[in-house]
Amino acid sequence: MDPRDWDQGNRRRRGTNLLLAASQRLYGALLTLYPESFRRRYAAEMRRDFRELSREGLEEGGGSELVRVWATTLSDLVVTALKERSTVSARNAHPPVGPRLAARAMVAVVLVALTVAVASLAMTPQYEASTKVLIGKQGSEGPALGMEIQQLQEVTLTLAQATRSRPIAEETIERLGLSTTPEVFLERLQAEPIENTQFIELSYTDPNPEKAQRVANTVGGVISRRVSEVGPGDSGMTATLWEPAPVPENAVSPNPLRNGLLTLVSGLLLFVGLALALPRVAASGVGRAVLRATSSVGWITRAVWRVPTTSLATEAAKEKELLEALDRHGALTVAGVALETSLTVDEADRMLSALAAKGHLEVSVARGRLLYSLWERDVPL
Amino acid sequence: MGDQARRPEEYLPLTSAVMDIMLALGDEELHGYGIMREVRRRTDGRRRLAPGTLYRSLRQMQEKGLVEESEERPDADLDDERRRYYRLTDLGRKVAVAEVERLEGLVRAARSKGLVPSARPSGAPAGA
Repeated sequence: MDPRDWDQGNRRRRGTNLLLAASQRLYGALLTLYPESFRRRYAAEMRRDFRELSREGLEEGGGSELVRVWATTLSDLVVTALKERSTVSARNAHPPVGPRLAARAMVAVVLVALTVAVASLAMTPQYEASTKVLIGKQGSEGPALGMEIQQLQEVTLTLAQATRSRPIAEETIERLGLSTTPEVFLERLQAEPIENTQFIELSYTDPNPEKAQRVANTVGGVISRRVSEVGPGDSGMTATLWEPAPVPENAVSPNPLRNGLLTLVSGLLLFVGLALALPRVAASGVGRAVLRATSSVGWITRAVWRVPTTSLATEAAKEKELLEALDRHGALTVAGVALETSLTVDEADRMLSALAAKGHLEVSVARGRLLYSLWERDVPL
Repeated sequence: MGDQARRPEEYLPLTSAVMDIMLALGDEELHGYGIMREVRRRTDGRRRLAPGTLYRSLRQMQEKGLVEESEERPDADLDDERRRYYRLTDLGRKVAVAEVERLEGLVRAARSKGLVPSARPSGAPAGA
């Protein structure tokens, strides 16, 4: 054999092996979409089978066949992973996300939100004073017009950066005799150019509203002086305190209502996300601890505020009514249960399906009808 | 794991994937990839089981007691010890037979209504 052919064949084989290995690794990573119990049981076999499928595809049809294998496998993986997760969620539905737990979680979230809101009230209020500085050219009374606007806007950007610098902080601290450091001062000072204008908005935050106002206006004054001193002589750049800061009347922080609402919304989203995506969390050690905690919160809340649990009690009563009807009649359809009890057809359907899925009811088919009944072992003697 | 007290008819109708697996395991024990190959061979490549559908179906079938893992290994030359082999249980076999009877009933009913495939040249695959 020509050594060049041998080399070429060797390179091709190596390329194929690399492609297969990468393909298998990616597939292995995607298998995490399946629930853990399913992965533990089947992932090794699935990876091995996929490797065989890919190898077979490459041998039979080259790269295009490998793409077809991937397309088929990927769509199948997404669909079956979703179905499998939904099956696991349905099985675990009672302990982690049953109505009782959902109610407890809601109460816990509301309590945390209220705590955050109350804690916000205890924080020191902060006031923000704002002023505007206009950057212009000597000789012009107001905002510039014409070609020089663009240049002035660029200068405005630069000056906004210069405002939050140590020399400005030091001069302002000295002028006002403040007992603070330039670093702390700069944390409280904001300077933002207002888009498409020659204005810079200066704002200073402080627990004392009068001090916040004095500092904001003084920084404006310091900027004006510095620009007139260090600006290029011919350019005639000016910085004018256009709108002095008034004394702020309302604190910008804390905002108990906003903080409480944000906590409430975040908590609810977190709960829904956990309930949908991580049903197995409830079965884990951490999950059980959380369940115990929420259980305690629910108990305390009921004890203190007498939170009504009517809906939970109603659900339990309906379930008992349904089971008694099945005991009386032996086997019933969904509509049959609705006729024999106070449940609506939808309620009967939902409850029967849930109980059957958990293995509490026997399901049979007779003359094309789906019948639900108690298992023989459960029928009272 | 399955509920042996249930009658085979109560498991019907079967999904096409489950029926494919049952047909593949009808006369031999196979591992997952062997089942895929058998389905592909039997349908001349028209039907292919992807791993997700195959193992999800196997999981359901194992839970219902329709298939089980084989403890005996097949011919040592063909065996791959790392693989799990599956076989039909007695219940699985009865369910497969019940499904075939159900399908035969459907075909009879279709014939009686004139819903039969038009004649095609011999050797042409069904559905072609």
